Amino acid sequence: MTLKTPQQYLDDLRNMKIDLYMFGEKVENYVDNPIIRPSINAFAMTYKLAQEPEYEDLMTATSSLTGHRINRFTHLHQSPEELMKKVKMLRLLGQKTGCCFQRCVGMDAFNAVFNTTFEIDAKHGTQYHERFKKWLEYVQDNDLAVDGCMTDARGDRSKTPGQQPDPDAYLHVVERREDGIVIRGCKLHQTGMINSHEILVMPNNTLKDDEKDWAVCCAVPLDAPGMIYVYGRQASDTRKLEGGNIDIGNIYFGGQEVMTIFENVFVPNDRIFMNGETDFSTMLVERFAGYHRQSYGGCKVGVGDALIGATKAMADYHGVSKASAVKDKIVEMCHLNETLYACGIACSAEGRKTAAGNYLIDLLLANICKHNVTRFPYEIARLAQDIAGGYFVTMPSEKDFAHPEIGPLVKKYSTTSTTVPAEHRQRMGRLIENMTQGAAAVGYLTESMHGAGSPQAQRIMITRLVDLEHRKELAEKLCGVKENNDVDWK
Amino acid sequence: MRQVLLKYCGGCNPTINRSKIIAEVKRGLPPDVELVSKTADQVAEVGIMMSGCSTTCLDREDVRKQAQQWIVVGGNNVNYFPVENDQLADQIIKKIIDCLPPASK
Repeated sequence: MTLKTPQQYLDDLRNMKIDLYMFGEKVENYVDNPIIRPSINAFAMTYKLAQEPEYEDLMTATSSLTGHRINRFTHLHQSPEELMKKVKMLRLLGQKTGCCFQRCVGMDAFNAVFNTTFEIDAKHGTQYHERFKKWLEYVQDNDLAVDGCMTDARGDRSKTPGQQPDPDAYLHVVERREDGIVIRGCKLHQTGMINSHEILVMPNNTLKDDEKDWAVCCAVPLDAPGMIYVYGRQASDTRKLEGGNIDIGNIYFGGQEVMTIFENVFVPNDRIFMNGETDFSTMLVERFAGYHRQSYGGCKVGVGDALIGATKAMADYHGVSKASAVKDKIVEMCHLNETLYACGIACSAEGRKTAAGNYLIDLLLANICKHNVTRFPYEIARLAQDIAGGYFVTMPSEKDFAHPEIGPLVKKYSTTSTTVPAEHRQRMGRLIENMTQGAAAVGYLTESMHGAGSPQAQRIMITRLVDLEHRKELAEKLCGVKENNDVDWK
Repeated sequence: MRQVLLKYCGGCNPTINRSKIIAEVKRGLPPDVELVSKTADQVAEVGIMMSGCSTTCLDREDVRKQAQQWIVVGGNNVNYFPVENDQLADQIIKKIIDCLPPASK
């Protein structure tokens, strides 16, 4: 079986026995927990759309390892066209879910680990690449969900992993055995972690020669002994416990971030893909970050499409959609959103082959893409709130709308037009609230800021990747500071 | 003379100085090896694809068929492995010598 149905995926999760905590309590049945379920629904859409003929061109691919038809989320990109298809697939899913659907991080990790392990082996004579290919075949053939796991707790930010008073501040190897390694540490902000089958652990940053214990990349099943998960809460999350379905805004889908603790977890040799090669930690981190920065030029654009749609609907409900100022603001939202998409497509179109054979995005353009993502969704959200008016954050709860005595009055004074039911305005307002300052704003705004690296991380990469001396020489030739041999005619 | 086919990309946004590197390569090659834009043979023994950035846009089928073996330069990569800027010319020379048949006596 190479393409799971959403139902098979949910059944897998139900069979998973994991150590999960939320609101200070252990959670046994997390699949049916109302706080968690929307995030599982969003993840399940990556399985659902792969089953549909009208989406299979984007959602599926032919495996370069086995020749089988697989979900593109487990695929190794084989051309710039396939890099572009990835961006389009993410946009589609953002449109369908209106939130973070969590599966891209695993795909980005596969592609980075695939080409980095090839280069580690070429230099050090190790066997990581073949091991990784074998594990990835297992992932592809079983259509597994994998969390690409990078960001450590990081302790004192002024110190490197080896300088930390608590060495666990960065996940590291605490024991090397004949049959494998034991790792300890904590990865924060793990998107879709408990909606996954497997974890692909990667180092967090550049490492020094004497920091070999922190140079570790390996695969861990979600239910491995020693794994502890603590669910991250989101703004307005407990609205999902109130029993209604209007005030939560997005009534089906949501994102998920989890604190993931590795408390002396054993990893057998066949699941270890880097073990002490500090000279390749930078390559792995930069390539993973590059792929993930490309992703944001797809997924956030799709969510932006949904938010632009919600804004247009509110303008229509309020009877202001013909006002030139409103039209102009919606055009601005579209311009910003499509600019992000253009960056996602551009870094894909300029992608290149790696020594391992899969394709890597253009790192500079991927960083430009993500840097714009740290800004534009905030402006799009600001314009959405501008056009929506203030009622989306001051309106009474859905229980007041349904109240037998005050309900009719609440509806009467919430009505904008005889052709638009008050409930439509109520629902659309709550959706805009959800996306711009509620539970989904975690994904659309703060994740846009910090996910795949905070803005300064992109500026560092831009500084490294742009050749300023070349640009200076261009100017010096134009104004005569330097001789210009190009002009050799009389 | 042993000939090596040299092909340049269009040079829209190079991250390396292609002509400077090729000048260094020419200086470092044995005297009986020359870089040419067209070889006497229809299909060259060895070729260099000199792309200015990692996109490596020269690596296409229509270019590939012009030589039996290629040294693919794409920005700071040689045959898709990263190489430090100041090592690029040396790496290219080494690959040319590895690929070329020995000089006839």
